Amino acid sequence: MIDELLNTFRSEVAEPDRETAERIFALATRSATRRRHTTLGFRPRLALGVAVAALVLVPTAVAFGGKLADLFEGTPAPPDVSTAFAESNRMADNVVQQGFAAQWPHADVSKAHGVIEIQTPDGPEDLWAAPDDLGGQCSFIDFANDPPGKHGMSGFGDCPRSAPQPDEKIGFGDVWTYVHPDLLTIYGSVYVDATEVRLTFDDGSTATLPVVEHFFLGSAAKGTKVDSVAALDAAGNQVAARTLRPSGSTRG
Amino acid sequence: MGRSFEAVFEAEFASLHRYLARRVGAGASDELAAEAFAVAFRNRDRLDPARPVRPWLYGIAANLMRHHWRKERRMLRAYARTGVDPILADEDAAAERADAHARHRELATALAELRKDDREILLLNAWAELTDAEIADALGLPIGTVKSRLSRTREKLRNQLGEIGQEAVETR
Repeated sequence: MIDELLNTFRSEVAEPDRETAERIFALATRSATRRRHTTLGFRPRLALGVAVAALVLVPTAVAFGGKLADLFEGTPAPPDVSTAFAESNRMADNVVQQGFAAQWPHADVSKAHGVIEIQTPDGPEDLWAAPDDLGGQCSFIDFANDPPGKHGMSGFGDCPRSAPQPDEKIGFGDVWTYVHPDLLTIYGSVYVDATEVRLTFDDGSTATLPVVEHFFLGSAAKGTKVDSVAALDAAGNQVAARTLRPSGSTRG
Repeated sequence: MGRSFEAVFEAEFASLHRYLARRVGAGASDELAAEAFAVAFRNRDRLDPARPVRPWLYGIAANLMRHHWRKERRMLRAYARTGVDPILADEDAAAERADAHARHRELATALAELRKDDREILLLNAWAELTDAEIADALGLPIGTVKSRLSRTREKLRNQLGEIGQEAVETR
């Protein structure tokens, strides 16, 4: 009786249509390809999401950027952030113990520290990092004003591969969530020596973000679309570039 | 992941999306399904091809759901209170269905009263059709724990639905 009742309860929800499936497939593969990272634990990312916008304006329809907090880099991670890294490690343990993967990056929680903080309409948004045991660096992004939960701060992160693909010099991700519905977080890693990245939006405008410990972080209004990313060295020379959306194409 | 990602998506998407939609609504289910598959896609070359992907996928979803369990409980309680399923509220006949699904209101009440971890196990079994062993894999729990909690939760639900049904009859 219970199973029948549960089944009919679920059956009231229609199966997703083809359009929804295609849209979500595009979202899943697009964002993943662009991030080129491994998620920092399963929990987050989307719970999180977000981003923001801030007020450094670029000549585009959206506000973008975020004012950098100069004193943030090196700040020891507070307990709620460390807990989030630890929770990610617990998930990594589970993945390995259950045999889903032979190894999975574990962050050194004791070395978790601040890398970038930007100011957004929803308050400070922080990127934290901690070295992992596979030679990479795990990152975690959260909004400082969000209340912590049982498992630490809500946020999202990745543990980039220690040996990225030879042809991959820039990892890129953008995340939106219900928690901060007006914002899109733009973040990534640069695997070559660079001091900033230049983003080119779909309307042709550009904006630059500083690279700190190989990471960059920005915030934009929901709906912002980045077409390409270029990494620049201290002299302003382009040292790497990545196209995210072929010219004239559409994204899901 | 033994099969191609596309094949896995084709095989699992509709079921996962529907599972999530029933629990947290269509909007959030889009987000959660996209994220769950994004995680799967990013890690497709790290996974053991000999292992089934479904428990892992639902395990990811379960972790993502942690941020939504209050919303789920709120929606279940709203359904129980009003008789209008908030998940179907945008559909034309949602209100008309209210009377026709009195038992679902009772079920919503009972589900809302469960501990969230017990609800997770129950629904992974009933809606995701995972076995006890697969639920244990998905959630990282000992299989004995899954078995005992599933049995206890079913018993609790059975008792509660019986009580609710009886109360409903008595008040008419």
